[in-house]
Amino acid sequence: MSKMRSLFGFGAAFCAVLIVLEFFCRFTGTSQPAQMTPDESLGLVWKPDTDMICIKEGFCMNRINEYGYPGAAYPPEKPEGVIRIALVGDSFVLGRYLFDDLHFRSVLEDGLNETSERTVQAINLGFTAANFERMYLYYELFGKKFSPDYVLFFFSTNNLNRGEMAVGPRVEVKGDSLEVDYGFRSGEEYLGMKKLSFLRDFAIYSLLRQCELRVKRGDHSRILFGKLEGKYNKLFRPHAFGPAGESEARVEDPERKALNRAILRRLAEENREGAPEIIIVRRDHLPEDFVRSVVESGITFFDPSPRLEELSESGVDPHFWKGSQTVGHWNHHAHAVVGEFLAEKMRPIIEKRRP
Amino acid sequence: MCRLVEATGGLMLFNSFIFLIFLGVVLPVHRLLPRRYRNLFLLGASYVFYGYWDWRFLFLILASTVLDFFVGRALYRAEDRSRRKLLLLCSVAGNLGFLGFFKYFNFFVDSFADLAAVFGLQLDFVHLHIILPVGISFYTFQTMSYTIDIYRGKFAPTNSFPNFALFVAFFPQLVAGPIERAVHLLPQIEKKPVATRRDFDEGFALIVAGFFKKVMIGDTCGRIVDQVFADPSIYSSPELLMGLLLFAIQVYADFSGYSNIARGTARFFGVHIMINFEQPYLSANITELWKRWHISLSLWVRDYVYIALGGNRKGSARTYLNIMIAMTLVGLWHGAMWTFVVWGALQGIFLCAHKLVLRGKKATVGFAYTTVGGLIVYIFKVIGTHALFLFGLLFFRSQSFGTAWYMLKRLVFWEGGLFTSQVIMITAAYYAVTIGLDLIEYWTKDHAYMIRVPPALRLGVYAATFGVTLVYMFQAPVYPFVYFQF
Repeated sequence: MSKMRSLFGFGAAFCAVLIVLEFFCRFTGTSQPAQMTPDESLGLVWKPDTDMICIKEGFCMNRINEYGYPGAAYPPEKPEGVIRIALVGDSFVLGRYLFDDLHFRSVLEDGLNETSERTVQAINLGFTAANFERMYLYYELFGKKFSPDYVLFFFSTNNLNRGEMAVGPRVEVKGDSLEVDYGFRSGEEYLGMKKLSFLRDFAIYSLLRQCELRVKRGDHSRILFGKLEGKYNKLFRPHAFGPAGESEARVEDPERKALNRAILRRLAEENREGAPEIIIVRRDHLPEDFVRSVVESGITFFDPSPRLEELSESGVDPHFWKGSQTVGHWNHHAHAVVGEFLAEKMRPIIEKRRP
Repeated sequence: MCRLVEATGGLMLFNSFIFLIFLGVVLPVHRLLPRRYRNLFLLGASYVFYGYWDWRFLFLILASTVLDFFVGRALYRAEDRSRRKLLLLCSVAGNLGFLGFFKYFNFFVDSFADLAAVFGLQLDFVHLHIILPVGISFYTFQTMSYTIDIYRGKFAPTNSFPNFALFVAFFPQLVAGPIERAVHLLPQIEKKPVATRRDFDEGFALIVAGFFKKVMIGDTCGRIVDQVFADPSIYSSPELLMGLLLFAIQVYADFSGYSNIARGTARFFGVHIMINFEQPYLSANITELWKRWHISLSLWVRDYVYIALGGNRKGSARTYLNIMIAMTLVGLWHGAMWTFVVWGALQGIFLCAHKLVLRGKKATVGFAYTTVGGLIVYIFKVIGTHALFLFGLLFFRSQSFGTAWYMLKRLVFWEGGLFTSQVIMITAAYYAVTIGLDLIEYWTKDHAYMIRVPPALRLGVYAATFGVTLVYMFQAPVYPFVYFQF
C-alpha cells in the first residue's frame, strides 16, 4: 500500500512539475508547440493563428496569421484594384528571426505603396528547407488561392540540389505535363505524424524532437563529450546524417535536375499565359546553365547579389547576426537592401501594368 | 556575451554534459579511496577540471598558490613589523600583478592613451592579445584573503602545501566563487571530510535547483538579452525594457544557479561552502540588497578594502569616501571597462544616499511589516530598490556608454510596440518563476528546501525538473556563465 502511495506521489509530483514547465516554456519562448501541422494536400503547413517567439540567430516575435502564412494577413479574396506579390522560397524568404517590419516583404510593400497609385500587398510564402519542388507545390496548392499578380521565386544552388522533403506530395513528370503524387498520405511517416499530432501541441515534446534531430545529425557525441570528441574521434564515431545543420547534396542529382527543368518549363508556360507573372530572384549562387535556362524561357530574372556585395564591401556582413555572433540567413541589413532592390525593380513593371 | 561563448568554448562548464561525466567519475573514485589520499585526488581532479580549458593557465594558478603558501608561512614566523608588511606587500602585489596584467593591461593602456589624446598627445602603445584566465578574479582574491588574515593574526597558516593548493583550486568554487575564506574552508579540507547522507541529499537538492536556475532561467533569457543589447535600434521601447528586466533575471539566475551547483557539488565531498546569494530581489533598500547580492565579494571588499580604509570610524565624510572607493573597486573587479566602473560608482552613490537618509539608523533587513498597509509599502520599497538596481544594470550590461545612453533615451521617450502583450507575458513568466523560487527559499530559510518534501514527491520533482533541464541542454548551444568574463 505504501509502495502504491509512493508511486502515486512520484507520478503526481512529476506531472505537476511537467505542467508548470510546459507553461513556463511556452510563455517564455524557451520552446514552443510545433508551428506546423499535418495537412492532406501539402504534408506539413504552418498552423494558422499561431504566435511565435523565435530565438536563435536573431530574436523576434511573429505570428502565423489566420490564413496560414507569416506576416500581414491578406485574405484569399483579393480586393478590387489591389496588386499582390507572392514571395516564394526557403528559410531566407521566411526570415523567421526578424520582425515583420524589418523583413524585405515589408520594405518591398512600403516602397511600392509610397509611389504606386494602387495598393500593393506582399505575401510571405517562405517555407523552411524548401527545395524547388516544394516551392512549386506550395505556390500551386496554396499560394495560387491568393490570386497573386506576381510570383517571385527565390533560388540558390541549395534549393536546386536539395533532396526530397520529409513529408509531402511529389511532382512527377508525365510526358509534357507535371502531376502531383499524393502517395505520402498513406506513408508511415505521415500517418505516424497524424496519430501523434496531439503531442506536437506540447512545448516539451518540441524539445525532445530537437534532441532527436541532433542525434540524427550525429551531434550527440560532441554534445556529450565536448572537445574530447574532436581530439579523440577514433573512439567516437558519430553516425553522420550530413554536414552539421544541413542535408544538402553537393553533387547535382540528374533526376532532380530533370525535375527542376520540367518545373521551370511549366512556370515559363504559366508566365506566357499572362497572369501571374513569374519572376526568379537569385538568392545566392546559382549554376550558370540554370540562369541561362531562366532567361531563355522568357522569365524575368532579378539578381540582388551586387547590392549585397556592396553591403559587404561597406563593412556590413549581410549574413552576420550581432546578437548571437553567428553567420546564417540574411540579417536586417540584407533584408533592407533586398527589399529596396526589389521595390526598384518592381516599380516600372507594376506601372506598365494596365489597371 | 557571445564572444564569451567562443572564448570559453573549451571550458568544463557546470551546465555541460562533460562536467556531469567528470563528476560521475570523480565522486565514486573519491569515495572509494582511503581517506588519506582523498585530498590529493581532489587536488588532481581540480587541476584536470581547470586544465581542461587550457593547461597553460595551470602554471598561473600554481604560481599564485606557491607565492601565498610560502608568504603565509613566512608572515606567521616573522616578528618584525616592517618585514611582515613587506611580505604582505609581496603577496598582494603578486596577486594584483597577475590580475592587473591579464585583466587590466589593455584597459589601462587604452585609458592612458585616451587621456593623453585629450591633451593632444598621440601615444601608440603595444596592445597585447591576452586571454583572460577564467576564475582569476576569484582565486587571486581568495589567496590574498589568506595572507591578509594571517597578517592580521586571525589564524595560523597551514603547513600542508597540498591542502593549501586544494583550498585555492577546489574545483566546485574555483572558476566562479564564492570567494571563500581560509578560516572557513581550510579547516574543513584539513579534516578530510566525509560526505554524509544529508550532504548527498542537500547537495543533490542544490544541484537540481542550480541547474534549473542556470539553464532554464539564466541561459534562456540570456539569449533574448544578447539580441536586444547587441542591436537595440531594431527593437521597440517595450522590447528594450524587457531586455533590461531579463538581464536582471539572467545575471541573478545565472550566478545564483552556478553558486548552487558549486555548493551542491562541494557537499558531495562533505565540504560546506558559503552562500553567495540570499534572495536579493526581495530587498527593500539598496543596503539590504548588497547584503544579499554576491555576498562573498561584498564581505571581501568590506573586510579588506572598506575596513582597511577606516570604515565608518573616521567621520561621515570619510565613511562616504570609503564607500565610494570600495564600490568603485567592485565595479572595476567586474571588468576592464568604464561602464563597469560607472556601475560600481552608481552603487556607491546609492549606498551613500541611503546612509544619509537613514541618519545613523540601521537599515532594515528582511520582511518588516505587520499590517496590510505595511505590506503594500514594503512591496513598493522592493520595486523601488529593484528599479534603482536596474538603472545601474543598464551600464553594467551595455558594451559602451553610447549603447546605455541610447537605451535610456528610448526608455524615457517611450514608443509602443506591436507585441507588448507578448513582452509582458515573457517578462512576467521569468519574474514569477525566479521570485517564486526565492520566496520558497526565504520562507523555508533553506536553499535545499526540497529535502523537506517526502521522498517520493521529491523524486518526482527532481525527475521532471532535471529531466527537462537536461533535454534543453542537449539541444541548445552551451551558454557560459556570465561571471566568467569577470
